[in-house]
Amino acid sequence: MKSIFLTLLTSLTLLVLACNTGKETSEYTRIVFNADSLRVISSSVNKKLETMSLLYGNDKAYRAMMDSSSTHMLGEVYKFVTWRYHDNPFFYGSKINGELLSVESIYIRENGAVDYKIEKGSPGPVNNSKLNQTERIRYILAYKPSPLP
Amino acid sequence: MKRLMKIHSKKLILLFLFIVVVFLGVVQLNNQPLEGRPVTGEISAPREIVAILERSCYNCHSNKMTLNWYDKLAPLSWIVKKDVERAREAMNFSEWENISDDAHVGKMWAILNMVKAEKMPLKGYTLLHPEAKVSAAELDIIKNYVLSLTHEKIADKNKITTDSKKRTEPTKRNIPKTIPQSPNGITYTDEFKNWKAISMSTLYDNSMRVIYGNDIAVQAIEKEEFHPWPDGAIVVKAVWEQVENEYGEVRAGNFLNAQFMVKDAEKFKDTEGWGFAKFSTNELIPTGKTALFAAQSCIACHRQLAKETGYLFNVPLKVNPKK
Repeated sequence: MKSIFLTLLTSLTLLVLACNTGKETSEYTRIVFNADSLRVISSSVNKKLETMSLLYGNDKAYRAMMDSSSTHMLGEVYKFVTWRYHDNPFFYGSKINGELLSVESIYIRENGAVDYKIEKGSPGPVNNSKLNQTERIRYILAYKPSPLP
Repeated sequence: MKRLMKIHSKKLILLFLFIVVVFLGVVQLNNQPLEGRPVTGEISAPREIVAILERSCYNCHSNKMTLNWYDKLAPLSWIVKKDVERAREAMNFSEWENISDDAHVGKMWAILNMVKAEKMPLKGYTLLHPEAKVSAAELDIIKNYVLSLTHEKIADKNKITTDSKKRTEPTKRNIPKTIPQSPNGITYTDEFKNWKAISMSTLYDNSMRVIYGNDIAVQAIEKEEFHPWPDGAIVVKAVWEQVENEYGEVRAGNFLNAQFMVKDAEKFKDTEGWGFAKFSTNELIPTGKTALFAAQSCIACHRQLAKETGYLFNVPLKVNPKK
């Protein structure tokens, strides 16, 4: 009798533990993208690809983007982040960003030399064509800051 | 002995009934009837839309309600009075004269969302008034009307943008000299520009938004601390027009407004602890003539549709980071 009781108790404990681990592995979480100290400069939405992007930058990058005639200077840092978007579950008619698809970084070095790095994923096409690295840099640096008061 | 007890319990029941009747009588005498208000401006919409609104919404959301006898009896009348007053405050089809075309479209989207999510008509109301239920076919009629309104508006806007072609170029600093303040005391601040972006979104294909959160708000999202959100959390939604570029992408056009939600459970008791403010155009003109504006135009949708996230529509979606 005692052994039956012990077996039952052990199975029950294992079952409870199994349920808990199951919960932990399905890790659907709400993530706020960490762009460190960079601020949002601009945004875009691609309805064909169902993606949304934010362009982040440091102060030097923001100033350079405000003044379109200026050349890029040492110390500018940019981050171009793209997500898949979905229908907003709380409001029909609204779309909201979801899974993170890609992160690209651009650093302006000495004499205007440009370092480009893909930190995550692979950037989507622009106007149906896949861009090479130089084209991609040109595409990102051509963004204008979103107007704010 | 048994007989004596029977008589005794009969007396008790009678006494109880007497007390109930007296109580209800007193309650009726003190029953404040619903304030009758004149129709000052009827909603203008296609006949089939108005027919649905009249049957399903007008009893609470207009000045033309027809109450049943039991709706007028206390204590039910208390609930009816509270619901009708709150409903009229949020949306009144008999006082539509001051509603701009933009606000009309916004309200219609709110109606579509409320009906689609089965939040309206209220469940308790359809229990007593089953004829108010909106059928799937009627929901489609509302949806088609709302979509047609939105497409007309986009077509109009495109006409204007192709003529002028360009959006306003980003301006360096043109904040008004005095700090803009909403009627509920919330002041505009520039600080959000350096906060983290918690999400981005589009609405009805005609605006795009970036939603910023201060550190308290970001931490609350990461810990899912939504019930309630901590005091001090601030979320700011910057809204722009959508402008299509040569790549077929949508970029931010003219700045439309910045919408603030400030959490202060004590100060904003009537709106679930959230203070709302909206500052429009580059002049940052605050929305609302009195502090009541949030109860009239903001909280109704947030309260009914976004309860799960503590009344915010744009917290980041739950995603699987491993995918």
